[in-house]
Amino acid sequence: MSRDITFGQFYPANSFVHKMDPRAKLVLVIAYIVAVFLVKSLYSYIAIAVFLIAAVLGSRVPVKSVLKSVRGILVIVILTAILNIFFFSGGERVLFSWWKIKITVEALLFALHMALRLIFLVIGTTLLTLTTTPINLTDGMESLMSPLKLIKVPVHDLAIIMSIALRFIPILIEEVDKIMLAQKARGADFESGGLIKRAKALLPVLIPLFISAFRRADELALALDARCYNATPKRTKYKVLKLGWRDAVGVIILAILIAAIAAVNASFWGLFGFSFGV
Amino acid sequence: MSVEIKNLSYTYSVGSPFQKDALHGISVTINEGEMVGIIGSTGSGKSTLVQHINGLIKLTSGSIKVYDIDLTAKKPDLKRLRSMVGMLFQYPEYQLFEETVLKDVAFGPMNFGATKEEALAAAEEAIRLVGLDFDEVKDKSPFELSGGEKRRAAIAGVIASKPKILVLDEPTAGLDPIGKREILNLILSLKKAFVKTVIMISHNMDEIAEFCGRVLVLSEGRLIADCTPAELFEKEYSLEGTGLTLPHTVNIKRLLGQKGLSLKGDTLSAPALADAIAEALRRRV
Amino acid sequence: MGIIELKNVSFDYESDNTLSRGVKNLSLTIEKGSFVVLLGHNGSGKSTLAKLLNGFLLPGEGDVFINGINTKEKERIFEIRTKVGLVFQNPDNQMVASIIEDDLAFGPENLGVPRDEIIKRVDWALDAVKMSEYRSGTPYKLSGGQKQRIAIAAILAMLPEILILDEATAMLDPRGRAEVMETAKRLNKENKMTVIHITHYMDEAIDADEVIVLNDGEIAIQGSPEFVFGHPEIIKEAGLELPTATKVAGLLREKGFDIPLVLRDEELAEAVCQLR
Repeated sequence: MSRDITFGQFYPANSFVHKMDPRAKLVLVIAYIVAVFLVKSLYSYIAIAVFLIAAVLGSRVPVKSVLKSVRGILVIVILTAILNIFFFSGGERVLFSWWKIKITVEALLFALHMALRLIFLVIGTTLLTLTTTPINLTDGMESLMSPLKLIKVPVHDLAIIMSIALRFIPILIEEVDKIMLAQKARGADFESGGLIKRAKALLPVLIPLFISAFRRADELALALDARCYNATPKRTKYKVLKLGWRDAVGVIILAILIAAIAAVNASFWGLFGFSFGV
Repeated sequence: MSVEIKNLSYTYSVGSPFQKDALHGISVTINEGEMVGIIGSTGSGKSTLVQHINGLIKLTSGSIKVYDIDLTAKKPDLKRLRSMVGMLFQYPEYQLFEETVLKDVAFGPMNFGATKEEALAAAEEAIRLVGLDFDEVKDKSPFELSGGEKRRAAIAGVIASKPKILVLDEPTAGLDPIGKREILNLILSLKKAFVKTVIMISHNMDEIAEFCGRVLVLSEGRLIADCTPAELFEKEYSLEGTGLTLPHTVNIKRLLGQKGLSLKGDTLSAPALADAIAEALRRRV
Repeated sequence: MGIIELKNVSFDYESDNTLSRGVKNLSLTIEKGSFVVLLGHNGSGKSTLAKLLNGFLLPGEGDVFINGINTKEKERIFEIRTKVGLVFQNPDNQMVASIIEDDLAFGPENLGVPRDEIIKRVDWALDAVKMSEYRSGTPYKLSGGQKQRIAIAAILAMLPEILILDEATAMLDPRGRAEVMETAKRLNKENKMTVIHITHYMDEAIDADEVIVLNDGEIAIQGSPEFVFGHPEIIKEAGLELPTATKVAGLLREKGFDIPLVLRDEELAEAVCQLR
């Protein structure tokens, strides 16, 4: 089981997006999410789609891998769409009426709007994890968070916590495997029975795992002390992140995207209008 | 015949980019009463091989029969199989979990269908058998025991259902010389009790030499040697690539042979070697 | 004065639940540049001693001096921990980063070493343990021996004068143990590092400059390997076993043959042939 897990779905490739500074990618993803939420017209989704296609091409990740992430949420998307279609109120152009249930054109459009929003959000954020290793991400987050040091947020400690967690995830996964095998050899059954029975059956795995995790933490604490953790508040940094031209390009492209969305919003209905007609 | 393996092959993660051949056409028959050692470097397939014997790994190619249970059948009775084949993993103390030692040791029998009374009785017997003070440890949390006691408690948990075959993966790993001796003696005493056949994975050649009557050597998923320890050490080449070294007794015998003094008879243990050297020297004089 | 001095050191654990006992009135001198092997069965006090040597534990009685500094001097504890590097038993539970060079940089980063200097140290440490090609890799796929060598490198990056291996070979297979021993010996010979190797494997003590046997928190015997292994009764009482060659030589002596004390297989073969 553990052999197949590529943690964080990272897809190794030598691409433009892969080489971008993780901080830029993090900021751009946040800006992208904001952009998607800004969308008021379905036409804007064309702009977003163009942006995503460019991003996927620039990441050299096979489309199949990207779409796999959507597959995961497909059920939610369809469910959301259906709920929206039936429970949307305030629509005028009725298409279909039956008893108390009224389906309007507006409802259909709204459902489409929500579905597309979900899908594009997932694709955009997945691109982040596909093109950035977990270590890179934590380095980026630590760097972005460093201004928080001024208000006494323990940024470095948090970064070490994240780094250690990442380091131990594959180890703990392997340990779960081993413990499960050992308990199975003693007749434990993890497959049959209802939900409660199966949950109880996991105790012989979870308890040793927890104990083991705490033991490791104990030993790791000694190792940290031996390497003089917190010897001085004046820590230095080995790995330095450097912004490059690619990051500038990314910012420009995203800025264009946001401008396009804003323009579409403004031109159709005025800046504070509210409609999503076609 | 207690375990019969024919043409066993196994591939991990078929169809994925992680696909890896772990075993190639292994055939071996282990008879009741044997004490078999399995050696090989990391990745040679030792664990994969033994985990087929109690069905932890599903048979995909080849055939395996353990006593009357045929693993090629559609739905082999894995519960009964696992009650017959006890398996002790490396550092077994890390699988203890119950509130009390007694309950933990009773886990196996309970799973295999014993009633609560039967399971507790079996657990008590097992705890005594491994040399722990029953009255002292039965209500203790397993986590309160010392390292050596924990390992014994884990062993008790594995033998509580009186398995006929005992598979051990590096049973003496991490122990000091006294601890190693104690565990090995425990295994021998279990063999005298109800365990008929012992299969032991080890990288400690001295242990293999002293305790096993037969040794299987695995390399890159293939069985490259199946003989007695003495025979194995004659064919020194088989150890190449396994990262294992000759036991000292064998090395000394070899060095003496190179200098023209040949020894006769068993020389695998230190006393036996001393006897053989004494005999050879007296012959010369 | 040796680089390490223990004067009448005693330490007791508060809860005497486990077999792990402390040390009793221990006095010890370790000379700079020596390769010392500390032998003892589990519970003999060897781990306690290791922790006393780098200030993890402070003696209840007596004093521990590292290069003249008393471990009780709280303000200088990091100075001591920089001088005394400690490598532990479990290869996995000593690494904090998913990339090897990041893990090596951790110690120097903590000490505020300037970045250029860190780069130099990481390069040097990896080379010293012969793992340079793995610098950008992940520790996950390494063998036990390789992981321990990385752990040693991570300590080396702090430029210690003393390297303590606290049962660092106990969880390794024979190949891994050989790798670690070879690395430790090389560091001792070429880099003049004082090495204290704590173990229960007799084989690893044969080439030491000095062997110290602990039993029940006290020094049972100390001296050269030949001296120590020449006292089989004390060894046995300490819960340890003699090297095979020594054992066989002893048995032959009991049978009336004139075999001297030997430690290595080759020495025994040589001695036996002398008798012909």
